Amino acid sequence: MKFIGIKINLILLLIILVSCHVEKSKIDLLEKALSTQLKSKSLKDFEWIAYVSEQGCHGCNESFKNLLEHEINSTKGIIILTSSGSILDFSKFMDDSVTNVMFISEIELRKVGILKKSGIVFLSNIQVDTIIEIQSDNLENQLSEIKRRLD
Amino acid sequence: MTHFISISILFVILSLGSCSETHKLIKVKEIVFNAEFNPRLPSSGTFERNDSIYYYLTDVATSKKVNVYNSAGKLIYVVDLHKASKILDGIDNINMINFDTLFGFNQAQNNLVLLDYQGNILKRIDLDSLVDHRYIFRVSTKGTFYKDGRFYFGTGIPNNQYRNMGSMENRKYNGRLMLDLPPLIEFSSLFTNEKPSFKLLLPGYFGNILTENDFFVEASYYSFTDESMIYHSNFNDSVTVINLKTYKKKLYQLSSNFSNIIVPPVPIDSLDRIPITNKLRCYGAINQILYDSSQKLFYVLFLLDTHGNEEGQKSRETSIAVYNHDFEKLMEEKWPLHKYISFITINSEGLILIKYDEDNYIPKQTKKYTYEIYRYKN
Repeated sequence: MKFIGIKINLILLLIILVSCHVEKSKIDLLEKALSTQLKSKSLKDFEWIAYVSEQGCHGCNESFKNLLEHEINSTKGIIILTSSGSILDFSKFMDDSVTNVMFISEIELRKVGILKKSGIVFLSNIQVDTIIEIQSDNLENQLSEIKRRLD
Repeated sequence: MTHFISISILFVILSLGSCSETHKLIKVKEIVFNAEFNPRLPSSGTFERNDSIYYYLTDVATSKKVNVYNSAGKLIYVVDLHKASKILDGIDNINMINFDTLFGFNQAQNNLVLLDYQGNILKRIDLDSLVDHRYIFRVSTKGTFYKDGRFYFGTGIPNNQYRNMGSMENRKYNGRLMLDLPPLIEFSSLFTNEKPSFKLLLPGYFGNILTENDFFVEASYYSFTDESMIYHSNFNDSVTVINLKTYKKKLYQLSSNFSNIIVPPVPIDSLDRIPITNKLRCYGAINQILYDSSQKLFYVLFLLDTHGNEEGQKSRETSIAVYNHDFEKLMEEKWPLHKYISFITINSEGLILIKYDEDNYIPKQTKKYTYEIYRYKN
């Protein structure tokens, strides 16, 4: 029985390590895709990477976008967009003075596969720490958790 | 002898070729429009005046403007929506019917406005105030919503319920509620001096097509012929044609040569819209129906079964079918829709498909929208 417990723990550990590795390789792919915009920086220099999608729950995307508007020009993280905003108002992100908003095509982001909808990846010690994908059923909790970690 | 046999074989092949299907969609024109924004395509379209055709691309969200082009793709003028957008606290949709007549719609407030070519609000109408309090619907401007002085909106769940979606029980309750709602509302005399009125069309339509309660109710779509409205839903293989003078209904069943097009009931097992939408994306469905009044025929865009698309990662398989005025199929061919933006429209030149351009995400760069126009030839 004890051995079964150890086996399960080992399997779980393996799964976590594999998933961390998978997410890390996705970050590498994303870094490659954004290399021109990152200039000499690395994604690992940042504490978080956020993506605002225009697909899916409109209210959720809008609330998340509004929260991220307070993070414009933050040196701690970057905001990724896949359009100039045809459903959401991205005008604040489009200003010439903005330094931490980057653009990628939807197809390319899908290939990278790290965020399939609006969400944020928190990095810690060059590793993926937490991924929060915005969901309508838990929106308020998710937003307050993100806000807490951004502050 | 050998020559005789070869010639005979060639003759047989050519004869067979001439007997085969000759109905085709032929590309008749290509127009390139340049815009400095990503337009919201359901708010972009085309209108005709004095035998000339005009096109407009709209960005209600970020740059808040409407670019109006001639049929050669030249930008003629720009309607600035900043002022109206500020007054209305946002515009969700635009329908342009002439050089100086635009209708704007704000979904949160159920306000409809008449705008001039400078973007000034000429008249503002609170749709809720026109409807009996028992029928306070959210209205949707998806698709064409104006014809001959009448406005048509899809109906959603009542306003007071909409914000109350925080639990599975509420979501299911709203799903059940929608089954009994008429999906369409017609307003007339909105911008005249007469008293505005409304009519609920197709009562119980969702109830007819959905037999159980807990199904996710997806939007329905409508388009027009000269005298009728064409109505269909993603769930169903039937199309309803409503004569707009008599309100008599006719039902036609459509089928695709390449796929089943009926969506089985999908249970509401998540409060998140995306997984449910992705489930629906595995099934074939009627996506769009457009009427070509110059050739008196229908173009139908079918989404085909795309199994294994639960993650929403795959490009949808699609086909385009052409039907005559009585919904008899004339042709259907598979179409590489991944090369196009999945929004099609129509005018007297033909069926318009918009090409997908991967570079259009790049900000502060002129974006290119290539419209390919097709006509049915037999």
